[in-house]
Amino acid sequence: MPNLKDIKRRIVSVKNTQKITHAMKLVSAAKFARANHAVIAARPYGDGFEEMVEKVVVAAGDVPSRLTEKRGQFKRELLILVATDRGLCGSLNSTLFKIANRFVKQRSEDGIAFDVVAWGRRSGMFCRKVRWKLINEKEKVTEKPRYEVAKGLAHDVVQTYLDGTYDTVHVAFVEFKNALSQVPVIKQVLPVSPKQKSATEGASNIIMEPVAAKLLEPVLQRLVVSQVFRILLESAASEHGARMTAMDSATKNAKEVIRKLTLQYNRGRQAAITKELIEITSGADAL
Amino acid sequence: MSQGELQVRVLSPERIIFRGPVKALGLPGELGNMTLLPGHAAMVAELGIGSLLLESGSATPEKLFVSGGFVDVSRDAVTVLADVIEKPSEINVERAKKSLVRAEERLTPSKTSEVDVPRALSAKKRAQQRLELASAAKSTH
Repeated sequence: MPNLKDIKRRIVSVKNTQKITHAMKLVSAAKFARANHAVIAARPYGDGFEEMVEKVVVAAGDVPSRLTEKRGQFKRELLILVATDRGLCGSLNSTLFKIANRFVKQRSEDGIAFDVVAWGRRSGMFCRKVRWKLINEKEKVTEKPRYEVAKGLAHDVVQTYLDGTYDTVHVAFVEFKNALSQVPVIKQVLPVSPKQKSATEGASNIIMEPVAAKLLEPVLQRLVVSQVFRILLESAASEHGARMTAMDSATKNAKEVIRKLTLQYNRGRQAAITKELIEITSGADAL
Repeated sequence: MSQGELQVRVLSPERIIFRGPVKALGLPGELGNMTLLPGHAAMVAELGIGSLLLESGSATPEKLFVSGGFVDVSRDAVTVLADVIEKPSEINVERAKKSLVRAEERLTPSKTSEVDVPRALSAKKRAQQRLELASAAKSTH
């Protein structure tokens, strides 16, 4: 039977932990609300942009673009791993790393060289642990995603693709469905594969200014930026959503632990009282 | 349709700036300024640096600063997808003034060999447009 004092101490300690997890939950909830709002606010632009890209692609017809054409053979690829900066967000990062790991393994079996760019501190830590070839590391990109930041990041990526360093670029990130469900995915960003509308009504009649062939390149570049921006926004929302749920269940667990410990403490206390009473009465009897 | 209005959405990557019907829409095209009226043919155009004008009829037109992006027109529905878009009240005048000075420094003839001239020119244009819009907004209030 553990000492009553020890149980009391543990109860206090668990209560303190509970306070912390509860506070973290509230903070994450506030951050999540903001991140969620940002995802929704950015949607009209993203959708509108994709719609426009379709038109331009159709109008450009057979005009080749270095951003869309698929290269014959893959020698070297780039994976961008977007994880969180901080931990305590449940299994968010570990499930992402698991699928990234599987992806890389598959590719190296096919004899393709792989470089990795890590966005988020946890991502860098993981890459060093598994000894991937980490060529660039950035922190705090998902903290408050801004379009300017996405533009810079996308520009660098497109540059390395165009100069032939890489034959494809994939991004591994956690897609945001809602507060309770986040899905880790791997998405190809380069070469760009814009959606093709099967029957575009009179796309050839649309005026393009400047001509479609000239418009294509900047439009596709911007599409990459827009995709990167969406990835950053969704990663941020996923992180806060996951942390919110993780902290909520941690708080619930703490409550359960406290309940059990309190029960144990009270039983011990009762036993001690009974023991004392027996001692007193048997003492009285002996007189 | 020709008598109607244009249903305009002005979007920045981060949020919706404006949404509603207008009588006419002035835009800074990459190849020059243009004005869209109801009944305009379907069009996709690249935007340059300048001011976007929303004319809703009675009131004085609303002006916004635009830098880069695209406009997508189809059947009286116009979507402006701007890279940067600011209301006159949001313009950071101090920053614009500083960048104007910086751009002009870069464009002094002695330096033009070592700097990216088109970039400096567009920085100058952006700063000028921002300042112009900000001061115009101030004088009307």
